[in-house]
Amino acid sequence: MNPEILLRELQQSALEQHTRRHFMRDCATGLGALYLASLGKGYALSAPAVSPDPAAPLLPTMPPFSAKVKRVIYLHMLGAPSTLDLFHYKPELAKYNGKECPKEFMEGQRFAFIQGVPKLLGPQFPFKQYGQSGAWVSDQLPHLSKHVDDLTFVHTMVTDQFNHGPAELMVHTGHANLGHPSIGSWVTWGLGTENQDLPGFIVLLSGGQTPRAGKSVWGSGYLPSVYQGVQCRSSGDPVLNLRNPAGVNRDVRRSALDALAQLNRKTETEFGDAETATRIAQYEMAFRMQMTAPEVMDISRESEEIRAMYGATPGRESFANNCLLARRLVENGTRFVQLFDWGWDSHGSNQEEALNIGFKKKCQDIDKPISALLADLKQRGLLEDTLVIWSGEFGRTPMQENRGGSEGKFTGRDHNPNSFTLWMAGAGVKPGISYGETDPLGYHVASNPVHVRDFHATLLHLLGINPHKHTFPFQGLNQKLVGVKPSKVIKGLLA
Amino acid sequence: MLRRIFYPITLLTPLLMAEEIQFNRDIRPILTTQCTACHGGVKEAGGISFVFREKALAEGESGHRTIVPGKPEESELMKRVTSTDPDDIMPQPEHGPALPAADIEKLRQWIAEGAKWEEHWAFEKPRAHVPPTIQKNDWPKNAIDRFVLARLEVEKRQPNPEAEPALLLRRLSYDLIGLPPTLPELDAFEAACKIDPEAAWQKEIDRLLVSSHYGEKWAANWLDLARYADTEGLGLDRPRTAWPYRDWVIRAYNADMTFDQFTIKQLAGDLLPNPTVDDRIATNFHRHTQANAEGGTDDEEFRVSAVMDRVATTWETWQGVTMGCVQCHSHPYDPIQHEEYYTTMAFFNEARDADLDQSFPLTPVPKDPARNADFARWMNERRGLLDQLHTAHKQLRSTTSWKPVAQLDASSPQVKMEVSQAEGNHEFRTASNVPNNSSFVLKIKPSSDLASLTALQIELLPVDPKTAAHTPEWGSVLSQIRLASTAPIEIARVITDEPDPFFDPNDSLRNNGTGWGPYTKIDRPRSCVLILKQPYPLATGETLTLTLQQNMNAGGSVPLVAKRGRVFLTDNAAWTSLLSNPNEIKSLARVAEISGALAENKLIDVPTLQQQSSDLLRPTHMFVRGNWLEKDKRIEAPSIPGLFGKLPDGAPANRLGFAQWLTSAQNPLTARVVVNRLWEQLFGIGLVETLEDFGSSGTKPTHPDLLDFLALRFRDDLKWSQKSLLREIVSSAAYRQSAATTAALRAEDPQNAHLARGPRVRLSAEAVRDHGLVASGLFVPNLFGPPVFPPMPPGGWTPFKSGEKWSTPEIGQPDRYRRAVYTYMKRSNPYPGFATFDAPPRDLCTKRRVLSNTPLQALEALNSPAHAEFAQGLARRMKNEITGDLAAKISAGYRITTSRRPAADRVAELVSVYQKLEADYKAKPALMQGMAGSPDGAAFTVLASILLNLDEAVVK
Repeated sequence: MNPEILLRELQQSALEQHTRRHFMRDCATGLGALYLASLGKGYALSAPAVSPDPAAPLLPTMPPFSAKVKRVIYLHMLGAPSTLDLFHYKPELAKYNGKECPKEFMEGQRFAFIQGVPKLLGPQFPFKQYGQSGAWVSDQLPHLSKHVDDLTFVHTMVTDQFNHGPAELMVHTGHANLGHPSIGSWVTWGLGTENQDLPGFIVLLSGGQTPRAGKSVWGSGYLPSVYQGVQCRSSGDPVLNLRNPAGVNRDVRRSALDALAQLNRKTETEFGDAETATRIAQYEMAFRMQMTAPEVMDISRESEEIRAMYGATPGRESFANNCLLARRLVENGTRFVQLFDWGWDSHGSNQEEALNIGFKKKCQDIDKPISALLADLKQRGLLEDTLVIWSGEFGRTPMQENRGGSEGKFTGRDHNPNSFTLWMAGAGVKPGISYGETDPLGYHVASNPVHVRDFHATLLHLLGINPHKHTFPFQGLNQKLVGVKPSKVIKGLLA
Repeated sequence: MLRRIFYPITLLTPLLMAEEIQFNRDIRPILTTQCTACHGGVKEAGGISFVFREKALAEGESGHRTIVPGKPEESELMKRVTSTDPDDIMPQPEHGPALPAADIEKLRQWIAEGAKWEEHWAFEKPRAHVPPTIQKNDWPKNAIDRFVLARLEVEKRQPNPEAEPALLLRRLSYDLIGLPPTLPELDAFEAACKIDPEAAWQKEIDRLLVSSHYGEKWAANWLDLARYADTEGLGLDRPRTAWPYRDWVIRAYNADMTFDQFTIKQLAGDLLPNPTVDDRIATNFHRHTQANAEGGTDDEEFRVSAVMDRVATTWETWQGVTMGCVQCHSHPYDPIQHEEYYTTMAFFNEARDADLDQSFPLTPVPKDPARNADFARWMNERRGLLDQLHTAHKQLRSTTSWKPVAQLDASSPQVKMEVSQAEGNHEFRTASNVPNNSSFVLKIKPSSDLASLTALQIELLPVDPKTAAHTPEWGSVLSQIRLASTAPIEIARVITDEPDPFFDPNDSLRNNGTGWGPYTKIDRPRSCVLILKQPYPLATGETLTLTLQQNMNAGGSVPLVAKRGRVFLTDNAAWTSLLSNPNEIKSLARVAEISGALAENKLIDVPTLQQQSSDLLRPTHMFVRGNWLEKDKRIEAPSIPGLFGKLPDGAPANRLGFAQWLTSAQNPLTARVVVNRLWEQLFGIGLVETLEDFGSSGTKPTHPDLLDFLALRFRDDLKWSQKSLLREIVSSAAYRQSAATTAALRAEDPQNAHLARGPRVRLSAEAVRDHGLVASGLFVPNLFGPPVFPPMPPGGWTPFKSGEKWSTPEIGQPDRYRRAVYTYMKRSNPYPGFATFDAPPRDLCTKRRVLSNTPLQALEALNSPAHAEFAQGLARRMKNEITGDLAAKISAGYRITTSRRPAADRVAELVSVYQKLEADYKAKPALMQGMAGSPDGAAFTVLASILLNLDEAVVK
């Protein structure tokens, strides 16, 4: 080989290796990197450290660091529940109920709907302390209040966005615009999944609406599409296209796949294309998924006692069913289970959105299922390496909303990006604590803010991933879930 | 692996030392890998940067000159890299080991030779190259092959033999028109190849390049860059009429519009002299930015975000330069300064659109394309008239003596109002919350020196003008204006401070919901003039009542109600006589006539780009760390980064000039980027693998001389004709090679960077559908028109709240079977089959699709309703249309999906599975319900599904 060309190539490779070091050194620990390298389309200039099985892009890998959390169940209450009326008790706010909001709280604030000077709105329900930890919970969650000693409350969550679509994207992708990978995609790109016959990142919806930002909140953005969330359903086909077309049963499909594999193997010999072997394997995996997914998604296989505990009813689309499914999925090795429950946007603009009506109904919908999920995970030992997260996309104002400049008929609160409560339970986090303090009105953070970026950093850290080095190059940046602004792992939350 | 052999190779370097050092080859890699992370665009540790030569030669904070040309011994750089003191040595011990001796030697030699600097290869203009001489002279078909072969000969590798004709035609057909060859086309080509293969090949190229399907295939690729979608993004992700732009792209490709024109029209078609309807539609390219119609959205935030997306998309699409990082700081590797992001942003910050509910500005598209020329003429004439009127009105306004009011009293049933004195007049302000549908009642006492009244000027002001100048406040719309004294006083016309406002300002007199006002934001004082029908004589002490009703809101939530304003009066008779001015009347009548004709003949409105009128141009400011709410220094004028010099002579300093620069001979990148993109579509990998990044952090070209050769050929000889360029590439022997390889050869060059074999690439998401359509015989080749709704799997369509229906036409209806490129693209709910096969959601500009291979693809292609229907169609063809025995039918089916005649063993395998299936269905006839009416039909359907899913069927 001409030494000059060789030299040039090596220098070029060294340069590329450096600038693309996310694959090799700093973040190449992820399976996604190996997967991309295996594609041989664009990223193989940095040769993979070990030869991955190209047929299994979602094969589980060890995380770069030791991890306490192996699986995640994320319960997102779409619309942003008023945590001031659930978990974040503000006695001062009760005192000032009905008074005009002091000017100093309003300065420089941008609102979605509030105009001019609104009136303060005290907690809408009686609060009590529970458990050994003495956490405050309102009377709207009587079941969940029995579990407070297992919960880690963060009362000082902060986000940048005050509209639902961008804020949902912010929570799930770290960016307010469309086009970025969701948490579940980043995680499965990094860690793969334990059960190859099921998708690694599964999404379950309830409440009758998809999130405002659409499927982008579980999209893979610029990561390969194999890492996007797969929406599953508790009625109808559990996974899109899972059911054979009319006229094809499992035996017929088996015969067809056998013939397909025979012929494809001949093609593989003829053309020597590695993708052909991968394709044969993917068709087999699909066949297994057709068997496994309906079994896992069939809650009628659960005992009546368990179903009653959750309040689950086979064949319906409900949050209770989804909680039970979430347990079944993590039990079967799914890496990331994302639940979305619609209907928490309590502006007070109509009955459903009223704190005094619709909100109470929503609390009833989730109280028993979440409590059952926590108890069930615990009794099966799954809570030891599963993390459960509950949140909305932002908080709600301590002021009553006055949309269009006038106060509504129903009680409600506007969007508040400055503080909200999120809780976690299970692996890796300190149980029975309340982290962070807000001002006396529960409007802004007073101490220990946890920005959504910090939460992302903490979550990835718990999964054994370095949040600052888990990157993918796009639009000239080494893109990260935590973005480019400063972010940190919140040590005070870690067990 | 590379690291392991790196060390011995460095020992070879002294052998090369006799040769002069080349900066790009020898020095830049050392600087980029070892130095710029700390001494680059982001961090300039110690005041030192190696991104620009002048900075590298300057003094650092230490006071020592980093590099002294010709004098290595005086250069601080050499002292630091050779130091043995752990405090001084570079790289610092915690950042990595000391430089290898060979690198130090290279740096020394380079400085001794004068520290000559070269720009990164991609920022230097392409250089002319003569195709190299080679040994195997019987292989090349054209100049491309000489470049390819020269490289292979250096590597001591042989090119692959030519692929078999059937596969060649398949490759060509998918590459040029995105559709497989039909059986008659295959027959004809195979026969012609036996007579004169070269002539046969050229004939196929000719045939396919004039096919109207050519534009459909290449449009799909371009639409990824344009982030084309049929919806707006956030909020309800409402439909957006964009398909005329998609059709424009298809037509442009079919007509082989030269790439320079293609560029200029899309970036600045509205700024061309007398733009045509098509020129305007072309600018829809940059109206695919995300919008948010969610209640409570700050329109300005999304406007700014759209402008920034335009900057990023333009740089990436035309230049392969990544600009995202320069929002916050200078480019880490490439010589682009932080401020230069904003100087190019200024080119795009002058468009009128602003995340409005109505997607303004819009261009009407005629029902009858024959009216295109009329529409263009009308629109240009109308705007010309409005500009003339505006100029005259502006002149009259500035010469009118506007009198402040003597006394003002402001009240409102909804709002607490205050009046104060400022700048010699009284002004009103709101002093409480402003609800929807607020109305203001202004009691005005004219100054005593006014005996009569001909016109009033209402001026609305930002509450904080200084801040609003860069971060606008919510605006207002006066949806009804009434004037009265003891009796109503008739206002004849409303004249505004912009030539062509989105809403007719006279709507303020009609109470139809809209009217004049700063919509939706106010960034400076805005005003309108109310002309009275006739001069109104004022009695002494008379009080006028001006009522301003404000019924509009933004996004259903923010009341668009003025917060501050004042009124001026005049007795200048020129205003009332304007009403009877014949010129004015004639112009207005003509404007009305044109507006009527446009409305009457219009099919639909398309969002397009339009320049803000000169009085209302927005200033561009730098943002602090990319945050639009924190403004920094103001940018005086738009300009391109200094790295690229200046706009060409005669080019205006606006989008048009910018587009002209992109396609000028001064631009080093555009031709290379386009050539590379076409190459990637044909070979599956670009000559520069990182299509999205030609900068220092991208990959180097595998064949740099070929890239430059093709870039210059494309730009200068072929005059930007993409069809001509494609013809040259597909005529090469390199393109015609067989794709067959062995594991050993693949291991040597997994990506086929050396081009020792032909490409073998999975079909794109679009082609996966189109292949099924053609194979099933269901394909409806109609071009153009509104988006279509192919069969959707149950549960695949769940749009947020909008109630939007996915209405798939019944079986047999043409629009059920249209090509993928026409499928409705809803960003928040893309067609699942496409997403599964790696089509991007089109939220952002996508330069390159990374192909995956997943079980969900298998489920889609085996089970989805669309693909199940394809299998039935192909089964019908095999059963009913193809003559001969079972083996003949199956062979034909195989050839339909793979273009090849199957070998006997494959046919035997398929015959055997067919027979088994047919027997099974005979035994269990209930099973075939819903699929076929007879056991052989059912068996053929399953067989067709196998054929459609073969590896050979899903690659090109």
